[in-house]
Amino acid sequence: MNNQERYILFYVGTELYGTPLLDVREVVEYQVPKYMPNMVPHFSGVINIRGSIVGVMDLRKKFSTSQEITKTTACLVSDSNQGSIAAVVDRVDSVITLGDDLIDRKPPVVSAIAQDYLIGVARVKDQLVTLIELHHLLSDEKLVKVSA
Amino acid sequence: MSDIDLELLGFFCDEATDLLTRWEALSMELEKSADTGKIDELFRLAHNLKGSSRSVGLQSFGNAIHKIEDGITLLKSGKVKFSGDVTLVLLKAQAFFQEWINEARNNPAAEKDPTALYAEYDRIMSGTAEVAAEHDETPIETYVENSVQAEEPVAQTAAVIPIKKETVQAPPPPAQKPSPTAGDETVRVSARKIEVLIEMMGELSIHQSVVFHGLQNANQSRSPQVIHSAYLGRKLTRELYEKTLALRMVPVQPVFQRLERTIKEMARTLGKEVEVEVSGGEVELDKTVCEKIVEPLTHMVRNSIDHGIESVEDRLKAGKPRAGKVKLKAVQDSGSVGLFIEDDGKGLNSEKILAKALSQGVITEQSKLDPMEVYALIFLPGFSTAEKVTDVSGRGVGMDVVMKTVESLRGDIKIGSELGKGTNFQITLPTTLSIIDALVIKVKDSIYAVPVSAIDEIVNVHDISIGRQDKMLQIGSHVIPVEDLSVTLRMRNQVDYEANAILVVRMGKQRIGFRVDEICEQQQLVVRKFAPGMANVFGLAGATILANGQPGLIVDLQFIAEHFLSQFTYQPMQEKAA
Repeated sequence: MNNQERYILFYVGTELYGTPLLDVREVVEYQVPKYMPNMVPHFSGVINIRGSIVGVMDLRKKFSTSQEITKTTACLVSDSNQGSIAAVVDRVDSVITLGDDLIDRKPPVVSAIAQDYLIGVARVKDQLVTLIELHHLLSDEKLVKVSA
Repeated sequence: MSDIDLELLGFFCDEATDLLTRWEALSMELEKSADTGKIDELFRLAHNLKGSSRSVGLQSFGNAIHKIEDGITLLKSGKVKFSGDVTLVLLKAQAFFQEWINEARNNPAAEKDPTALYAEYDRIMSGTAEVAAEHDETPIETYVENSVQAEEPVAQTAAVIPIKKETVQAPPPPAQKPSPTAGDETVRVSARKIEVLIEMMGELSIHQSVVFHGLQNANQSRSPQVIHSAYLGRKLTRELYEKTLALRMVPVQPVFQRLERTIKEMARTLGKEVEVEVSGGEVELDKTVCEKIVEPLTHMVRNSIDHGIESVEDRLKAGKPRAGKVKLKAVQDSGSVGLFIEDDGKGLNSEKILAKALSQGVITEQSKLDPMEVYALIFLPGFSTAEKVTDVSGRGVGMDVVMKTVESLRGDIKIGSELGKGTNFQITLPTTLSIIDALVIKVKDSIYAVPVSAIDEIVNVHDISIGRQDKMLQIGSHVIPVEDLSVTLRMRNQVDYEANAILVVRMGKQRIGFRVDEICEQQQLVVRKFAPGMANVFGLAGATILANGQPGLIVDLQFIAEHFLSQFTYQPMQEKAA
């Protein structure tokens, strides 16, 4: 038996992505964030999740796809090193278990994702899935544009 | 040392800190009157400390306490007379043990060398013992009395600092301070647990208000019971919320105790005589406020003793009582607490302050300042460090730091002084840091909150004429700059709006107005710090949840004003002579 891990799959634009399930605290419905000035463009503001203030990062803006809001638009909330951050995605697809042998680790491809956050590429149901370290990405991303 | 149980050690450290705080109070009380009950309590306290330190495996700590305990036995038996020097040794020992406890908390194997303490101890205890032996003939009787009193439950002295109870302690007579253990049973709870409770209560209140409004707006007539319960539910939720917030409140008495100690030590070092009068120790402040205010207050009382209170000869010459008097007072107001430090020393010398300010170029010959403004000069950074104003007139060193801390707690300082009669400081602090009175404002159709404390004045745009392309505003004989808040806050520009109000902010002598669409309402808001990744963003002090459940952002107007004004070497226009 090789190592197996569960991944949550989601769409940003037409691309299918996956990230380790344990890195995501919860998935919540999209809510319109309260705009916050002086932040980077893909930081869309803050929302109230059960009484706590959570920052919102629009992955679609970060990956330069359309930022349309539909019924399936959702937020993946992760407890990053920068605090709770909700990543906006177009659709949450499913949760799957992948063995090590199904993942092509760090292929030399150029993508919207920096190599640092790229786990690898996997083939799921005849589709290619880009596996990323969402937690890592949300922890490192600079959010404040103009600081005090 | 390896068998120290870390959890037990934590408990011990907490307990020891409480005991040592009581130790400190007792030492000072004993100086006033060496009453046998108190010596006895001190003895039991040391004994307790010794026992529990050994039970958690801190052997050498126990041994050191044992040595001091021996000394207290001497005091108990009357073989050593109580004196100022004894107090000093007891206080030094207290500080020494407290430091040890602080270190042991993180490193159970921490050892401290008590040699210096022992030397001092031996000098005082043996020195006074000889003198006392000659005069004192009644040691045995005293001892018998004491042993009867010793049967009081020891547990009382080992109680913890009260977290909060609704009992209001009657204000004690001035000379007799309320003991921190006075009749209030307490439970030690971690701050984190309280924080979680407060957060949940905050959330509950929001949902409660949503439900309540929903019910109110429902057009069908509801059953009277439901309406009744809804009202009761709302009332209870509100009360519960207030009570939960109050869990973080602690009495200021321990702070006053530390100040009193500083005053005593300073006075002894400088050879001055000072009496301390403390009142209002039962008044409560948020724990964080209490912790942060200790340093500034210490600084202020040091100034009072060093520069305010005169030497005994000078006092007698001026026809004042030998001993100077310092009053420490706390007064509860609605939503705020006033802390007063008063001395009957020589007071602030306005002329010297003015001369100094003039020579430093802070003010000009033409400046006409009222007494309050003159005193406020001592808060300017670096005002007194260049040349020692403090030597001649009173205060100064580091007062800017005092002001900064108080401002960061959203507080305020007022000074009153009369030459030759004394000086008094009044520090007003909010009772809690987590709730603010805020104005909910609309800026470019977007909702923000501003702490009421930051605003000096609100001007209705329609009531005044704004000149020079909307860039200036005249208030009285002053002309102040006006800016769009949306511009200074660097908001994205997309919505047309109509500015109806101007919020005027004061930075020292300078003022600036910020134009906003409108002022919606005033709300009490729970302030939340930003997560680390969002902290330090320009112009925002924190986030909150508004009464309608929406997230809100709290604008740091003071910061924006400071930032804006720092771009100019702006000189406010002088008051025109009437």
